[in-house]
Amino acid sequence: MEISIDIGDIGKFVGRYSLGRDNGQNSLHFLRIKVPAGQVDSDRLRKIADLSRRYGRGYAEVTDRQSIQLHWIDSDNALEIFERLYEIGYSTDMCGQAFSGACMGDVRNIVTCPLSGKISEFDVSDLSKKLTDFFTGNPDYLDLPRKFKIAFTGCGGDCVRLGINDVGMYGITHNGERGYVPFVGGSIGASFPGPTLAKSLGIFVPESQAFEFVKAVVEIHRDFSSRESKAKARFKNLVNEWGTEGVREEIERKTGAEYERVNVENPRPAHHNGHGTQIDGLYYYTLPVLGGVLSAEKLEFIADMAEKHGSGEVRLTPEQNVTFVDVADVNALKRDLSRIFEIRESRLRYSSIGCASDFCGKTKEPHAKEIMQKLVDHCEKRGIDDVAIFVSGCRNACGCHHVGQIGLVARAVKTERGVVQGYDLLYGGSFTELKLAKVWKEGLYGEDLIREFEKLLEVIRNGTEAKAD
Amino acid sequence: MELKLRQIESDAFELDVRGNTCPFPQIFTELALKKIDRGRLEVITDNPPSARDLPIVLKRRGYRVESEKEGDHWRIKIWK
Repeated sequence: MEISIDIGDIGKFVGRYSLGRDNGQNSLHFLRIKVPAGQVDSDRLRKIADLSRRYGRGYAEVTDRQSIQLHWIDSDNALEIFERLYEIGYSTDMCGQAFSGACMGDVRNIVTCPLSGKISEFDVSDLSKKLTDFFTGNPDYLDLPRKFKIAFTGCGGDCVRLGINDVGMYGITHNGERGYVPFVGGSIGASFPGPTLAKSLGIFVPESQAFEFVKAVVEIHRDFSSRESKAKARFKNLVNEWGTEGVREEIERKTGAEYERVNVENPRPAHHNGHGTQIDGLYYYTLPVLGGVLSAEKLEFIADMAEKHGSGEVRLTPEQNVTFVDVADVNALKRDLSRIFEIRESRLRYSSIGCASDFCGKTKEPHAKEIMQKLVDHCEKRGIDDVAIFVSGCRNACGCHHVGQIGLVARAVKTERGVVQGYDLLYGGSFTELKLAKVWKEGLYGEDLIREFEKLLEVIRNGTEAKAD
Repeated sequence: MELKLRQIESDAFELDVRGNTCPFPQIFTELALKKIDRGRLEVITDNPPSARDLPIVLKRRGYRVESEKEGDHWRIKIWK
């Protein structure tokens, strides 16, 4: 005998919302709120602040995929939280990586140039949002072999780490037409065949065909990536197996298009730190937020400032910062922001990133963000502020250590006094040059870590990294 | 989405929530428990966070709970 259970209104949440597993700081669940294209208005920002205060101990962090992550979420409150997110049109990552098999992968928040449409006419955020709408909750794309990461840039450079995405769409203008050069097969986690940077497909996809193009790539991943095991299920493995030529052929077969061949092997570097002029004569200003760590109070303050000094909208950045747009007077904005934020505008503070290993439980003290803060302080004491430090708490590389100028990844180290939290120190990574970092020294902790970090800084400052290889 | 409670013994039911991420196995289990007057509910989940959380949450609510791994999934037995 079977009894049907009516799930009623709950059905609208299935496939759109999920809680992730935490195992640190006494948090059991996190909520990773996808912010489409990283663009959020003051009203939604206040509502997320309210969620943080009610359900997440007032804590919030900006992730390096332009999402906002809350912790200490009690699963008993999940339906209330989902209803509030549903009302404002937001969804969450599906966190299918918890399954042991190659299944239930979803399209993650699509990383998008934070100044899309503001410093050039090429506004890639419309397409990014359209694709987000299409994939969110769409049953045809909720059981991918593994998660799928997409990035878009249209500012003329790579401000989004295209090369670490399954497909990174590099916006260019070619013979007077807007479109994209796709880079495919990036993923720097430990899964097979190891940390891999995306490769250019060497084609030009006109803007009008980009939606169908990305959809086709996701479908190729869904239909052809290995389901044999979780470790082999990322798209990079298929790209490695087929080669870029094979992937290109399958995409063209699927879309029926024949894309023009172009010779673009690397994106140009770009960042949107500090302030600058928009095409409409107004300004943008990026507030450095080390590690993306914010609070309900700070989110509300940011919302107030966005309304007071701009259009009420802010953009979250892939470097975990917050960019104010449509600002009339940057100095006035900065004066106001300095009431709450300690503003230090250096590459060190803008471009360093750290993952949430303190919450996921992959590290013991010092956690990824702690070690980042410690090394940033160390650099500043020595007057060094032009380096970037990327810290991951584990080989899954959420802190992108493989593409850091300086990278750190946690590892447990056996000592005479027992197991301690150590870090491998890496150097020379570059996401725009599509260059993986090399190991400087492994298993460092305590004073040894600081000492080796010092030596590495010296080599970087002397420009002698090549000799260190 | 259709959720079915299958009777496996005179006083025992099975709920298969495989493929659902946290917190839906918990939410669906609670809906299923409302349908059962008394007896045993066996929930099948392949989601590790839910396999961790379900026994914690249900014991907090006063249920007797046993959990066992069966290949690639867990069977969580709840007595009402």
